[in-house]
Amino acid sequence: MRLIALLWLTLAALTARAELTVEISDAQENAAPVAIIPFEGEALAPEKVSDVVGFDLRRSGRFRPLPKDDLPELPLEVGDIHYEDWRDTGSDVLLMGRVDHNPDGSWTVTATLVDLLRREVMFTQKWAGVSGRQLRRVGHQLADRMFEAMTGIRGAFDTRIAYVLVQTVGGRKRYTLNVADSDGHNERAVLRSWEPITSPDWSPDGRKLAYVSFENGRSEVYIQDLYTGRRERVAAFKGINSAPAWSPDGRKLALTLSKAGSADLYLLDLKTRKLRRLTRHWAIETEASWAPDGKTLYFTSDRRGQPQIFRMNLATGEVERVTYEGTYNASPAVSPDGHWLAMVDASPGQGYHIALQDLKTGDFRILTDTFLDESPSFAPNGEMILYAMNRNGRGELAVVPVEGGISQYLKVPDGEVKEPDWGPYRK
Amino acid sequence: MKRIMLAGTVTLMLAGCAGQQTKPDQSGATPVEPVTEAEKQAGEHGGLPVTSGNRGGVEVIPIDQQGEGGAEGVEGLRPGEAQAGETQQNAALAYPPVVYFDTDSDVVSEEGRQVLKYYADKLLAQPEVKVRLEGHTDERGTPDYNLALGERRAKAVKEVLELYGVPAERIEVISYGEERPAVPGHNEAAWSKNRRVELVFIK
Repeated sequence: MRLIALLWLTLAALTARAELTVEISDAQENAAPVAIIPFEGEALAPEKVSDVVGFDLRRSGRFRPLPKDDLPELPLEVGDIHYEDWRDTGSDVLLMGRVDHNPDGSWTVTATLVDLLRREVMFTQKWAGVSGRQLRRVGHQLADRMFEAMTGIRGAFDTRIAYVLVQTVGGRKRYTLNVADSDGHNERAVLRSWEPITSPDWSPDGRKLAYVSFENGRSEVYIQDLYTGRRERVAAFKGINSAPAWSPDGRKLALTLSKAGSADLYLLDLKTRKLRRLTRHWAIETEASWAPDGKTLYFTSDRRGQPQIFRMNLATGEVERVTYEGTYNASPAVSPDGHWLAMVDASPGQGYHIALQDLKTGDFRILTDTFLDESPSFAPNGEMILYAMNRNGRGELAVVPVEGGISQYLKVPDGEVKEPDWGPYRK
Repeated sequence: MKRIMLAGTVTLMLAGCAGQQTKPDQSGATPVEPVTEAEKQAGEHGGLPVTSGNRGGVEVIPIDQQGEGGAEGVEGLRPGEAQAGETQQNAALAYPPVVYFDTDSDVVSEEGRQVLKYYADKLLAQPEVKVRLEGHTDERGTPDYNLALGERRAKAVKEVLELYGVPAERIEVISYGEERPAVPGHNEAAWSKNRRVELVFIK
């Protein structure tokens, strides 16, 4: 028995890291060209910062960095720019910079964004004394700043995602809860199990994940500090324990528990550990999602037959129905500005797709045309939605800008990825 | 006569234990060695330690075969072939211990009831055996809703078993939602086999 276990462990160790890869969709017709000059000195650094920026802007779906061969010149200083040469490229801006190696081994990155039409500097930013491992984050932060300068919208490239990886190892299914940069890099396993892991949810401070683990043979909710590795089991009641959702102030966890008979919503105060029951209904109530002001909870309920989305005013307990289109609506996700509701929608013959409802006007539209879509999650700037779908018979993740049109796919070569959650802005 | 039958039954049970699983292919049927991996990663922003899940093992014993040759569950036998009046030695398991459901439904069909009556009788004949009802759904729709739907299905089966006389204390209900499909595949042929409640017998 022990020999077999050792064999399994060895197999597990030998199994290659999953290597989440991001494939950017070609279908971005309206993407605006941008000029990014390779940074001086970056070839010597462990990461090419300008490549990180270019990749980020591409995956937003809005921008298309010019191929290096199409750059009319490679100016090192702002004063070197011949603005007339750039007119035909269609790019309104030019990013240039340098990466210097410091005597203590650290790096200093300086970057300048130039407005090619006004012929003036939009900003210059410097990151001094960063380690090689932090260079990618510098790229993401620069991409965020550049994105905001060009669109007026805060960038969300310096963010992370969590998701579940399912692989077959030695004939058995193995589940791994992973955290990665939102561009797929720096994948890190935070939990490995031979039993399912589902429903990860980031804490607002980005330090913890709540999730459901079946490691004890049934659904239980855990909170794990990503940096210390400390785990706490917060819900292991009779019945199901699932769908954890952190409140925006990080003080409470909404939960789905069926300990009183049917799946109902509860609030767990993380300080006092008191449970407050929110719904008392024979129907299934689950998949709580907080409005950003922390006063309203959206959720899925099948009290009218098929699942639809409802919301509860937490002060009054009043419940009202939110979705009326389609025969099935579930898995609500409220946008960070509270304006939109993303969800999984299905109607007979239509399949399961991500849909978006304007919470002010009620306008409703289907956003995706992929297969078996589920688990929508907004980027912290509300511009894009990460979700799970099925492609070529395997589970993959996809990102769709709120205007529509898939901008990227995330997948692994040896397994499936599902249950994504987009993390908050990083501090 | 009865005593010989009983002894024979026990022997067959023991003999049948080795390769027998009541569940088709699920890891829940096999005791598992805990997997421990502690991977501590130093460094600033990327430093995330790894922990792993443990799993307690559960010994699962297939319900009494009451047959010879360690017969496995045979699909498609009609209940008439295993009636109480007939000699029990020739009866194999009339039904696999699973009940199937329609899309989004938790209604136990007529066929399902037949299966449950069969197993209820067996449970009543072996008071030391408990049953765990494991509820599942197909992969479509959202995972958390499906977890609750799987539980609904398992509870519906529990109700039927109780109607047939099985005491509630001997019935355990659990849901895996869409996480443990019996059949991989992304079409109705696979989905129809995944919308199910499995009966797992435990001592």
